[in-house]
Amino acid sequence: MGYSPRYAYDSSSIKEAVKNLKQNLCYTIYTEIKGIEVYIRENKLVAYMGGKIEEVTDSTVLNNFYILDTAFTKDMVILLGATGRVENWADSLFEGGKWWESLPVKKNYIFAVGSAPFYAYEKNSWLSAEKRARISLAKQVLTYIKSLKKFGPTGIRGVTVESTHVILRGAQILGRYINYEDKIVNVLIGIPLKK
Amino acid sequence: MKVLKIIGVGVFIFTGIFYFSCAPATKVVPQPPDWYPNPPQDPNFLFAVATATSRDLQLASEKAKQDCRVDLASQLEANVSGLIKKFDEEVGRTEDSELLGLYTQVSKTVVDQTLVGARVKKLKVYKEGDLYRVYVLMELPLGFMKEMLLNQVKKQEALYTRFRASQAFRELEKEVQELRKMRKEEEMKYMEFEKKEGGGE
Repeated sequence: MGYSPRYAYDSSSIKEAVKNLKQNLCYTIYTEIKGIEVYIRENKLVAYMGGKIEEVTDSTVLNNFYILDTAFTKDMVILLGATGRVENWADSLFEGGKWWESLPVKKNYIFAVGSAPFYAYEKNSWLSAEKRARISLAKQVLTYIKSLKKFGPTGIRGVTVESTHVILRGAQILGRYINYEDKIVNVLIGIPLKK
Repeated sequence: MKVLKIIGVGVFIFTGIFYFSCAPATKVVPQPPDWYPNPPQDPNFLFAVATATSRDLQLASEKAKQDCRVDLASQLEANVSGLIKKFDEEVGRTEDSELLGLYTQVSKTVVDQTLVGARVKKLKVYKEGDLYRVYVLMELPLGFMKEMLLNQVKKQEALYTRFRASQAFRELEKEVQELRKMRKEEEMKYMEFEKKEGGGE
């Protein structure tokens, strides 16, 4: 998908959406994710202390792309694109179900859900949710963990450092859901396990 | 008198309705999913469950997953220690520096560095007021760890010569062989599937 806000001129919106579509297709083909995060534990409570996980793609991995559909909403232009011509749409990889509440199950597949709150521009919500989903997926593929736990009279205290460095190839977005009640967008991402 | 009685009853009913409408609503806390108190058991996998809360759904989910990963890492350490102990008991030389070296190397590699393929098997989200509560069940296949251990042992020739005769080592090697066979079969299946899909386009 490629997104863009609605500008005064539709041509400007489409131009930006195409640019975004190309970038998102690159992320699907090849994404290098690396970074580090720190969490602390105080008895049953876990708190996120900080960190940074970045994703990088390579624009040269995309040789060709096709725009399959275009949609104009009130404040967004959305493009649906693919790396090849699509004649038959594949069936969904999972059978319905509320995947945002309970992950789908499929053998030799890893799934992850990314969610983001509503931002001023809806496209930013989707892009953020997609990025979070990819990072969550990367952490499932490989995570380096360093953890220290101390058991004392006041309970358990500890610190954990998680880092990852993974290259994802073919991580596809398989589902999207907008929770209007809680103002959250959810994205389901999946990658087949080749080895 | 009759009018006063009616007014009195009316006031009583009104007060009752007002009182009950102002009473705090009972907060319904959703029950944790079935797998949370009873995680599955499988000799080829390690499982961990965790729960976390946050106002941000993604953060709640990441915190729970992180907790699971820490649990899996410590379970893995215990598992590796168990395997090493098995070798140790059979060979019977704890003070052996080569053996201790292997132990440190393996446990450090596995626990301090890597969790490969620790994936979310089940995830459940509930809303608790303003907070999201996420329950996560994570699994870690043990095959990779066993293969790594075998490779480490094989790298050290003197140890390998001694270990290869032991029952524990034969068991480990058998398991790894089976795992490789299974993986090869799955790869073949996947290739066939890809071939079929590619042919269909």
